[in-house]
Amino acid sequence: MSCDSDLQVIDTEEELATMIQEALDEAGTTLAELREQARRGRFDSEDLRLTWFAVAPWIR
Amino acid sequence: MSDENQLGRLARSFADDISNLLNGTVTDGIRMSAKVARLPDLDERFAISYGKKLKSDLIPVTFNKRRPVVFLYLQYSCVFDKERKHLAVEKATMSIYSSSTRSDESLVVGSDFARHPEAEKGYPAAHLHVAGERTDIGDIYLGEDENERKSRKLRDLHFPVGGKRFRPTLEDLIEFMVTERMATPKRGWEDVVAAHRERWIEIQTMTVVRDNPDAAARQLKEMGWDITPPAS
Repeated sequence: MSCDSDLQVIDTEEELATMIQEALDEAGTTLAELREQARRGRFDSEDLRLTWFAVAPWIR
Repeated sequence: MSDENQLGRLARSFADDISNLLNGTVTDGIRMSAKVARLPDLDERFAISYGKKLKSDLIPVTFNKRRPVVFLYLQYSCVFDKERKHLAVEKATMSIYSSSTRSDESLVVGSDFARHPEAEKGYPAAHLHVAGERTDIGDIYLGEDENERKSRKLRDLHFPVGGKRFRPTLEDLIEFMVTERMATPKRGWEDVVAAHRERWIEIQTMTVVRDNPDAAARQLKEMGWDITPPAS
């Protein structure tokens, strides 16, 4: 059994910034707030914990 | 083949591997998505999730062809190691929820990994979050922050599991859902889990040997192997 998975290529800074902002908006938070919660290792909600896992790899 | 293409190929292969493991055991028709950035200031990396957005959608887990009772959240990010020879998982979460809302109350278990835990208050690199009601969590908090004492919940604790090398895998989580009767597995699911697990163990063994060559050589000598160390 095999499966051809999707490959999405992010080509521009704007595209990446939009995707990050979309994740933050959906979670109702800001990057600064999310960073702070990650630094203390404790998130105010599950949704914020998952949002951190989604955006952290793409933040410089 | 350019490095850029190589990264895309590796990302797709990683995503295929997860999709095939899931669809061979506890899901139907799931296609994981690999995301690669071609940006000069960003290290070579990719992320694996489910859906088009950065944040993964929940994956319904099969249950007797009826409505699912649990949902999986999977999110991985990978980078090349410093020698640029091997891929390394930088950050990952594999979480199980009892509803499609990803709410605090519906978390069954979350298995998290961070290659650099020092950036997150030094909690264990591999840890579990478990949700539930406990009234004494505040009593066992010895920190100074009064707000944290009052608001800390069971799910905030980071239960250490296995460290960087021996952390829980998706195969373990699938086995957990099946044996705890949260998922109805497909016929032959054990073989699929076993095959994927064998590959994981092989990769981890090679990494452990790379990190601990003297111990590996000693053990192999004990087993009768003839080991010659490298010249330098």
